Amino acid sequence: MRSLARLALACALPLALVTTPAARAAGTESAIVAGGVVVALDQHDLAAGPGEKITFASTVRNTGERPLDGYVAHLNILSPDKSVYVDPEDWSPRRTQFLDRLGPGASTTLHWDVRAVTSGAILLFVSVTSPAARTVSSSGPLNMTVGGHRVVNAGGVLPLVLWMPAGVLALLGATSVRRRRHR
Amino acid sequence: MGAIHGPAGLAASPARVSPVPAIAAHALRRSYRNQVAVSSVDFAVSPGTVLGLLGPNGAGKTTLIRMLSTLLRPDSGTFEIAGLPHTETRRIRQCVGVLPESPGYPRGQTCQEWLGYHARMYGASRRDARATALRLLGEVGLADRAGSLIGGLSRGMRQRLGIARALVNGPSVVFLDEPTLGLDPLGQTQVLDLVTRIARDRGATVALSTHVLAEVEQVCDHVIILNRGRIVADGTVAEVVRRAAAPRKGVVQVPPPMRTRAVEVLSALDLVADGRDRNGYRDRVELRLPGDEPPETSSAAALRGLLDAGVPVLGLSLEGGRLSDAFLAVTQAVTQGDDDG
Amino acid sequence: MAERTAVADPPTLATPPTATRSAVAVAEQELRDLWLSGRGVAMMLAFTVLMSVITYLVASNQELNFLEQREAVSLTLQVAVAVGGLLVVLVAADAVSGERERGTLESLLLTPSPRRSIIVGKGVAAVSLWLGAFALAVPYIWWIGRDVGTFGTAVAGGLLVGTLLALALTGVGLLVTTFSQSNGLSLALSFVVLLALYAPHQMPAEATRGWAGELVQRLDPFSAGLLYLERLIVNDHSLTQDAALLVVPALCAVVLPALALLAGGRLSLSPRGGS
Repeated sequence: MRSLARLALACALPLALVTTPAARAAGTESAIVAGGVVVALDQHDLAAGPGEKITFASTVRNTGERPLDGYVAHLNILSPDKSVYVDPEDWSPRRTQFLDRLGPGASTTLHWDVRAVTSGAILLFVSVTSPAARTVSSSGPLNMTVGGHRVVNAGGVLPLVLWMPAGVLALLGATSVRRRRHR
Repeated sequence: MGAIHGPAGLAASPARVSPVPAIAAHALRRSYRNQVAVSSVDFAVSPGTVLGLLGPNGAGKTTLIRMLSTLLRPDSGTFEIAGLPHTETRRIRQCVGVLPESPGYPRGQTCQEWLGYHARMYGASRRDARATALRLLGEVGLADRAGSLIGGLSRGMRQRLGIARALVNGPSVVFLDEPTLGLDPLGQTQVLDLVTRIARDRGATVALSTHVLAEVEQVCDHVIILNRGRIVADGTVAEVVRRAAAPRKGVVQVPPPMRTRAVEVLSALDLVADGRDRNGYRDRVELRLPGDEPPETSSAAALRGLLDAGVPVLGLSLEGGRLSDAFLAVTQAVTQGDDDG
Repeated sequence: MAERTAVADPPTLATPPTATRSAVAVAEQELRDLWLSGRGVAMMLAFTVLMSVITYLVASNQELNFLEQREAVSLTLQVAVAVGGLLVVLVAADAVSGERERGTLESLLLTPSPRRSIIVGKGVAAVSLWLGAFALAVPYIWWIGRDVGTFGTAVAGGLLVGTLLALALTGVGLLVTTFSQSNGLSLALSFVVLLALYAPHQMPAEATRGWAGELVQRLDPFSAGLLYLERLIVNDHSLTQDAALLVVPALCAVVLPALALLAGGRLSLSPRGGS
């Protein structure tokens, strides 16, 4: 009986490795297995407008035989385009979540809220690490394209920024003239 | 309640005095923390009177004016202004005009703007307020400064502006707290002239608080002297001087060789102020007549004493009883009494 | 002395003015004093210089030009609201204690005009500074947001939030000035209150997590109002979508001036009362 179980496990492991890329290819989730922890996102590609708030979920599954205690999940946000500035703090104020105890085979779903601040190509992924930080498991990327970015058109700003104070200054001069006339 | 004081020339008899005093105070009292500022003040003033409020610094004059103009609430006691009880604060303010002791003025406003504003605060329409402001500025001699900024006025002009403001509502009672403070002699004269005209032409009752006794003698029908929050004298100037029993001064002229003998005789009679020949007049001796007997009695005693001693009297002159003497006499007497406990 | 006329009988002013009439008179005088003297205009000059600097930097500086356009509009509006509030506090805090120190309060208190009318008139002058600042901010907001269609919403939202906050701050300033022993104390206290109201908005995002942080943000009228503006402009919400955020600013806009009016009834020469 024991030898049969070992044989099944030996067959299942390559099967899991084979099936994971297939699941990725299916386009609904991505996952990278490491240290008995599997992290998967529920979306792979996303388009959003600037300022739009999006929500996605990540599933953390304990594929090991021991329960997982004190694990931490963290959301990473970056852009592969170096001309696009990304400050993760602006995108999501809550990027760290602490996992409850996860038994063998159990899974938990974490929800993440992100607001699209800057336009361009953005990558998001969730990583999970252990308390001792011995291993880091990571999901695949969520490719987000934020379009329709508008920056302020710099053309013609000088007349505005000069004439407004000048106009008020002229008014101030008028009050000064009035004061002198009444002296 | 104290005696009712009427304008000069009227006997203070009930038949001639208006039944409704312009100002009537009954046992007024006010303290600041543990310091009594005004205590047991009782007096009444007939309409049309110019009342002088005298007293040393801290006597309670300003506190009294502030209570009567409803700026301060008395701790106890009551008062009426033009028959209105002290509880009718808004109606009292409507009929009272005040020049405060050290008023501030907005430097950036013109005289006309500022006066017009205050006229509107008494209920005048915009048009009436403008007209009132111009008229009053003319009355106080500032017609040509109507459009000038207040910050550019001299002190005397600002005082006149303040008096104009005190008249903006056509008041029946006007309180002027130190109106000549900081003014040169010409300015003082102009202000006092204005005070007289306010009372005479408008029939308003004027309460004038001042340190300058000459002003009181000049314009006031009646006088109240305050000291340490209490009334220590009230009446006409003559009555106050007489009642204060202030010593009077005089000078007797004798032949120079007899001066020493004259000083001896007068000293024995306790009629000499200072036997020294301060001014170099070798033929004169300064007299000091007690205030508690008629001056003619004291001067007769001096003459008799000198003649009996064989000192020829070449001349005798007496100075009139001054309000300043009375003021000093009553305030120092109160101070002395308080110090003696 | 110039030739003078006789001191004649004046028209009788027998009836004390109504509260409304007095308030209008005070408001007109305070507005004239604030704007025609140049004091208010000088404040507006400082305001427009600040707005010009911010607009120029946002528009032309490449390193700062990462802000999405809606964010730029939101930032400009928030600056206008904050600085406008500062100017309102500056004037309101000087309203009574300043007059006390300059010696001009006594003349006002001698009139039969209701004390509360004086407070109302001075409050109107203080709020006028916000309205002036907002009017000057409109061209900047239009210029920055002209391509994204946020102008109308930004103006409506900014006017609403800014006016609520200006009313609240006027109430704070008038309350403090009525009871302050000196003008310096009144200004200092009012600024401290202003900073305390503005501080929660500047908290880092981490600090706003949890029930305490969120509660502070919701209960602080400044934070709530500016959050409302942010959602309105950046997240393209409607004017009514986040109306719950305006409950506290609206309450403050009513309660604080009401308290100031109540206290104004005891207005006197001394801050401790007595008349």
